[in-house]
Amino acid sequence: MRIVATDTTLNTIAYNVATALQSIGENISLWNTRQKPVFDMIAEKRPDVIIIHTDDMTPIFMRAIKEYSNISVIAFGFSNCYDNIDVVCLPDNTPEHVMKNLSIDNAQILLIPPTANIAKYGQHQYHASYASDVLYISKQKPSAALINILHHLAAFVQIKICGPIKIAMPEYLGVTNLSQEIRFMSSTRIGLDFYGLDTLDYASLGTYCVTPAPNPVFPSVIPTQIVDTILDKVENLTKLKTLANKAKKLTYKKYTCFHITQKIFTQLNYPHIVSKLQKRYEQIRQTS
Amino acid sequence: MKKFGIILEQLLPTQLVASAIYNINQIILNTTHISPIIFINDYYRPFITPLCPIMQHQEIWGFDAPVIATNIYTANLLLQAPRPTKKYFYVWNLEWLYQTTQIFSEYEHVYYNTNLHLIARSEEHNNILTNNWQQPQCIMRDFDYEQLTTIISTG
Repeated sequence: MRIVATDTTLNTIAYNVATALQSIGENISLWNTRQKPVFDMIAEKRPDVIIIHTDDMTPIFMRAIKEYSNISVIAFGFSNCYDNIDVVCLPDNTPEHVMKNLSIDNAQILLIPPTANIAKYGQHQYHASYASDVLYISKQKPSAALINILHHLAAFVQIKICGPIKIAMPEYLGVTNLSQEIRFMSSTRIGLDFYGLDTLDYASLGTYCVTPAPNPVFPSVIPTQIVDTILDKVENLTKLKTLANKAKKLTYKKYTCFHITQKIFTQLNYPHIVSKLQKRYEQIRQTS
Repeated sequence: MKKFGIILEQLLPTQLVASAIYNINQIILNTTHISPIIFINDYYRPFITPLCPIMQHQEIWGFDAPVIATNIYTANLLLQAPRPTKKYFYVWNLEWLYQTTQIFSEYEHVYYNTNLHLIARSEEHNNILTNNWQQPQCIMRDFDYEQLTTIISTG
């Protein structure tokens, strides 16, 4: 099966779906909508499924999928037009009044919770040299509030910062690759996830995470109480481990990229993909 | 006679070079049992005349004594050399803070390397190095020749 996904680096859920499909050996191509017109992409790739963010759903794209009606389209996000879309994925905390105002006629709606990308992060890998009390992975430009929190924490606990966005603090260690990121995430006592991008990934690796973002496995903390919460929890390693293990179990039970991808492909009626996803999920679960 | 080497990237008039040469000269003037050598990458006429030999950094390869690197570049050179009996990295500057693109792997190879013993320049540097990388073996303020003599004698 040929799958094309838009370059959705900002949309974690779509990225997780693409990773899950890639892990079962499906042919996935990334499509940069700013560089290649939609008709050229369809002529070249002949996709069976397109995974797209609603920001990329231009009028030309809508015309193209009307013309090529055999292509299944999975859309992530909000739009005022979902014509010819097969599955619409929205955040599970979408308010009811917003849902009522969406004009979705034929498409199936799936409410998607935050998920862990276990296909990407895989196994826990503790390394003593990567260990820290608190880890922050900088994936977005930091706000002034976050910088204050990081400075405050650095005065009391061993904090390490890594990631693609440079933070002007001596604790910032640079841009890491995936395996280094996994080691950092596995070796810290508490992960700080200010924007709610990695919370479930921390959970899947068995690490406790403090985040203000709503999520199904850890309590969300008010930003002004992040420092107090971390200082309160960081010393009690046994309690942290118990809470993290609980979160890990819950994540593997319900909130992985394989769960949502299976849901989506059940709606699209691709049973062979669903069974392959289930098999791969079982494999990863056994080794975790 | 106890010998040791210090690797300087160049001999341009910088605080690092001034401190290193001044303190090496002090060792030569005040002791009789220690023989230092400066290894350099680019030759430049030194603005303080060293009282010890200056050699090209390729000579570290067969130098069978303790050697001290002074930045990431020279630390990488030192790590590749098989003969030095003990390898030190005097962290004169917190270099990872000043790069426009900071790639963790480039620093990890040096700062996490257990073959390289870190020496911090101050208490503050010591805290940052311990927090981020590994515990430095000792603190030596600006190449202080008395501390340098102790490190070499015990190393």
